[in-house]
Amino acid sequence: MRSTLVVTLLALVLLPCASASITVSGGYVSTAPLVGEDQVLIRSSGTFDGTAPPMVRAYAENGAVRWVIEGPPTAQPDMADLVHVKAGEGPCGSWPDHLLIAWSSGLLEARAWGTGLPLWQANTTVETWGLTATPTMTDAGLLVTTRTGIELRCPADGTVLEAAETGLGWRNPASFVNGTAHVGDENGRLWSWTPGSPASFVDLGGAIRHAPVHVNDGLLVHVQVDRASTVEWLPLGADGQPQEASQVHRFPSGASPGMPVALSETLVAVADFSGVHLLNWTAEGWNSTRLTSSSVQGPLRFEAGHVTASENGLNGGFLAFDVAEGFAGVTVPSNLRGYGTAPPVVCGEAWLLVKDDGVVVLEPEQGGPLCPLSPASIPAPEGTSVDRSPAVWTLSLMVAFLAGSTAAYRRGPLHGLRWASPFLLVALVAMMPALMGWWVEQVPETQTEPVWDETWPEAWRESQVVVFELPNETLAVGGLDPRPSVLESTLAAADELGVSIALEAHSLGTWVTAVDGVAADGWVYEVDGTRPMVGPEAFALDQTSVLVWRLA
Amino acid sequence: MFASVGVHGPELSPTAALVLDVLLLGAATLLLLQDKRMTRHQGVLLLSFVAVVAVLRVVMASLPNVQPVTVAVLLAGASLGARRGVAFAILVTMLSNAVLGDGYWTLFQAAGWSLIAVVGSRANLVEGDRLLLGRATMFAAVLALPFGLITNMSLIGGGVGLAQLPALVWTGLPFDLSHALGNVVVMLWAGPLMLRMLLPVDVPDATAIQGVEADVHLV
Repeated sequence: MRSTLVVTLLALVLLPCASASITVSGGYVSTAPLVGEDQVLIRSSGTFDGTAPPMVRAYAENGAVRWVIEGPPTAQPDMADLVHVKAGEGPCGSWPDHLLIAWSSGLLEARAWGTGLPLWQANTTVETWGLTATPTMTDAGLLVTTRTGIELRCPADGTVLEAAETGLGWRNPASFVNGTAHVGDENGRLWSWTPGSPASFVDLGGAIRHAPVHVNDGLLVHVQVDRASTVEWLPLGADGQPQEASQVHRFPSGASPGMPVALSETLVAVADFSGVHLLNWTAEGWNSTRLTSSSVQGPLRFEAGHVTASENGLNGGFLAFDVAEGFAGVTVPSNLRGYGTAPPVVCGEAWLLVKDDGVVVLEPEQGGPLCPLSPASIPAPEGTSVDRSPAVWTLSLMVAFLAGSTAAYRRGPLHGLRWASPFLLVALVAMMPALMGWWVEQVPETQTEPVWDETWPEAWRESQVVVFELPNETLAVGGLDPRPSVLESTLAAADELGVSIALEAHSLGTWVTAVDGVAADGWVYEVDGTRPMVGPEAFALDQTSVLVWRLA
Repeated sequence: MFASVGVHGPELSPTAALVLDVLLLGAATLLLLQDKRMTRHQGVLLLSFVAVVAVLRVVMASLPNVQPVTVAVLLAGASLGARRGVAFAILVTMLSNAVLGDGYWTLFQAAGWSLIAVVGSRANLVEGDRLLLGRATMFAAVLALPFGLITNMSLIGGGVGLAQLPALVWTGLPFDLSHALGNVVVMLWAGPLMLRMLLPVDVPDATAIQGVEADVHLV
């Protein structure tokens, strides 16, 4: 009886330790992860109070962060999906495999796919916000919807090949059909532009916040109006320009439309506050089927034979419908709930699920051999996952007190210690990372020689300076915004210098394993000439510290 | 204690590592051979216990600084004497480090645990064949600190100077606390069992029986 009680208590104590999720810290995650062959990219918007910038993180096996990019600070959420542009060539040049990032600050940049190093950058027009639409790769070039227009850019260097002015837009990617781009704006105008010719528009009223969908040689547009929406279909003429909207294909629907997706030549899925509908085009009008009445205001996704979406509500989960099974609903087995717009993404043999608060779950955990986050589960709470250790050590301390006092009362103090000590040990192990972080701050200050290179600009004296002592050169940067920890300062400096940083999660925090591709026997750091005895995440930096990284 | 991943202490060349291993193994063998009281049965028992404790150490390696070896070595010293205790400490260190990682630090770990074995032999922890549990628990807890100090010394010379030793010791204190608490748990729950494994069963020694030809002994 007694041993059963102990086992049960131990199980209750240890159960919270099980975990299979990543938490992407800082800001909201409202776009779908981008799954590559060997990495998963996730972008997060910055926090509204500016404490965290917008970021793009590359995750590899076991959720280890491979590299991180910080975007320009902005209060606007980043709505554009990340785009993987495959290597190719065209009249304007050739380009490697790269990642395209459209920042809401207006910056458009291309980054090397494997390392995140910058390839080219371009600034676009900003009016309150900049880029919120996902760029599209076409045969003619990169189609980019800016705040005030539409541009065709060269993927090799980002230069503008052609451009046209349209109305102000938000979350309005363009479609490219037979050489003509179609894009909506916040005034309900559907613009059509053939590069080299002026743009024209059709006025539909309301606001258009998705890429027009090519259906049955026409364009479907889900127009947002006051507290409702209307699905319109406009046939395309011989010149590729949209004609007047078809009256029989006008479909009134709920408020706050999402982003529809074409499933075939004549079949489209649309979503809004009233739910998800299937619209099958016929000459007499739409044959509509409601798949669910759950509210969806983000993009619908068609992948691996499933239509998927995120429910956007306090207890919103995820939706999936199997096309082959007549759009039968598929249960997405996850306890992840909350507001979110990013649809489930296929990763190997599993779904990658994301909510606004940045919690990312691989469901089922293993992911399968093709998911870059496999083979083991996404790491336990120590590094980047949800921190359950306060619950563990609090419970352990309570049980230690109960067990110890009961045993001491019945059989003496030594037995009390015997029963309390295992739970005390569990508590200590659970609180060790937090304890180490606090303990390090209690280290008595020691006087050290200031570390300063006379060749550095005087302006750096009042800022943090970061130095990387590579085998063939030494790189230094200063004058950046002060960062609270060694790790954050390192990443900011690396981004500024254009060097890559490889990170690895350990039980005591995240460590730098390579700088600019140089790993050797590992990297150690010194702050103001002293080598701290804790990891870079745990060490707090002063505003005028000199941080030096060198090979171990 | 080893809070910084990547801070190892001086790197040994393969030759130096081999020499160190030979010296340690040689020392352990010498100590066992010099102990003329030990019978073959006791020797086999000791070596079996070395294997068990080494496996335990490897299995528990993921828990920060929880070292079952410390309690085992303390009890080995208390029950078998200083020589066998020190030999036990060296052998466990070498065997477990073969899995966990061998290097310059092996010398310091072996030295730390050897010290604990010597203390155990002097601390009067065993009365007859009964373990004085309270006293043993107290020693097990307290000895975690000097062990941590000795092993911290292994970091000197690998980019860490004597001047940084105080900071090193300071930042390692939470790990030493974990070590001490782990020792308390192991001693209270497994101490008496470990002692029973170390104390030999009362098997008559062949050499003590007249007229019996003894086979090979360790003495």
